[in-house]
Amino acid sequence: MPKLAFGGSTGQTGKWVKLGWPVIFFPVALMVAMHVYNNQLLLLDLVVYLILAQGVNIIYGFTGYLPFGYFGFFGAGAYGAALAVNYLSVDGILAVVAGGILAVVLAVILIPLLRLSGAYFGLASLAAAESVYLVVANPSLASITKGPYGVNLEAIFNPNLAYLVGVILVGISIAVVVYLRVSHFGLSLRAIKSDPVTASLAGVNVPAARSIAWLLAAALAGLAGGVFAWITSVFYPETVFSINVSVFAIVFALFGGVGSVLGPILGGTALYILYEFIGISSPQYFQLIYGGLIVFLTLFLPGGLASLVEIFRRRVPRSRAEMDVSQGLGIHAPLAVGGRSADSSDE
Amino acid sequence: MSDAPLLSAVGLTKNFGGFRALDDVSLDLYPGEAVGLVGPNGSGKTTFINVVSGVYTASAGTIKLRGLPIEGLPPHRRARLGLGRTFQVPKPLGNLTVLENVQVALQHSKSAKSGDADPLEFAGLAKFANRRANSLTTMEQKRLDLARVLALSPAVVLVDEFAAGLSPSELIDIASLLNELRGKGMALVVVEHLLGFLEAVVDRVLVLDAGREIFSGGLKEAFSDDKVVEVFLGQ
Repeated sequence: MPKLAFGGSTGQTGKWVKLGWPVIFFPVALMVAMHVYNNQLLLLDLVVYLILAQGVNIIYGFTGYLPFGYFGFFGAGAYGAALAVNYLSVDGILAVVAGGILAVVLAVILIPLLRLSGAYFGLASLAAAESVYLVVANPSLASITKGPYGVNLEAIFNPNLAYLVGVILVGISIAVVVYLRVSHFGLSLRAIKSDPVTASLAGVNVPAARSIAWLLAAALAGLAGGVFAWITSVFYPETVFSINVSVFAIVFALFGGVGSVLGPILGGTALYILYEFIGISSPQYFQLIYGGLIVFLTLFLPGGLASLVEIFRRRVPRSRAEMDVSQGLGIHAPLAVGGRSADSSDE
Repeated sequence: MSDAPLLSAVGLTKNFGGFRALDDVSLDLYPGEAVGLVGPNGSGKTTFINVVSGVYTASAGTIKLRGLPIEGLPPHRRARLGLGRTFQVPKPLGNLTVLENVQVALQHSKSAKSGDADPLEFAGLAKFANRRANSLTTMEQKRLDLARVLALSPAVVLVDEFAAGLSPSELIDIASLLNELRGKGMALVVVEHLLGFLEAVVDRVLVLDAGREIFSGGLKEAFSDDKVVEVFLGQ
């Protein structure tokens, strides 16, 4: 069946080149930004939220599970880093890795939540994350977690290196999403999002595939939590186990457009620029504009900013659009024919 | 007809709490054979399909595909081994393109070969390859269900009320497609209410009532059987 044959290595390489440029471009842009922009703290926050938004993109954009309790992995990552520093005396980079590992361990424990779906999953993940917070903040465990009194990591304080590690993680998170856009595994995840029963009857191992996506998303959140802990040095349980972490990551991803490579980056960057212009000087107007933007997007642009590309593409002359497809410029085109994706665009 | 059945279901039973939806139903299916599954609403036809395809776990009974026990396997493993099914209400992977719908199955098939027919061509959907699946008409989505099943290179295809809602000309097309599958050696279980359609496709029928088998044999003989007449027409 020649028309349906999967692309060989050449085809896959072409798709990586087509979709993979953000893997290099955005980390470089973030490094340049650090030298031309004087609010380093804002950039550090932006880096952390870009990683988190891509994590939400993986679990929600590709499988349809909306994780309100995503902050649990972020907090686990921050505390994993803190425990590694305080008890194993590791350096910052290993502390970040430890944060990622602890978040993955938590995600493994919570895999049964994936038996739920929709709002039930969202609420269960929220309850699970709150439970972890209550354990960490428990004064009885202060000898291990420092309880509600907070953690101090000044011994490894190195914001420049932490920022560099964060930027590399942004690149890795984008690379993971590009992989999901071009791979058979990513296609399986999108099939699960569309209809798990049909996907299963088409041969997709639904429990395994969504568990892998869940662990990937948790690992990114844990690594982001580790970077955050490294950057801020002093933090409290309520700082990292805050539902605001989930809300912002989800809003950034949705604002840009989930299921795409660029969406969460565009969404995160655009909202952070808005925050820079209005949020600091006039926080009350910022909340108003933020809320209005979300309502506008939900009503008129549910596919996020990335879907503007698809809308534009529909308006270009048909011959041009067809030429794009024939040249393999399909959005993710994981397969040889260069089928145009029905999901949101990346270009 | 070969001696070894492609599909052998023995004593299949399915309970939902205290309700027995399927009660000790058995079926052997041979290469190139098509069996109709007939019965009034609630008789257990779709439950049988769901149990065999793995959507439901059997409460009792065994299922063998090419001699391999599959009753303990999850649906994706059964699909990969060559058990395909369609749905009464088509269930496309709506956010994917038509082509991607087929490729999802193709990438997991253990028996797809390069010489196999193109499922999209076979189902008459090649011209829609780059269209989003949920933009297709109901008939086209049914064809897409079939194309996705064919991408698995199945040995057995479970066809659940495929003809429901189709026009007479579409029925002829679908019957022709299903007969073509039989010609390729695939075995079919066809759940259907339309007797004319069944007559054009199946060799024999299994009639169910309240989850139990009440008749097995030719379609014409079925409707001269007292029990079948009683179930469908009353005393």
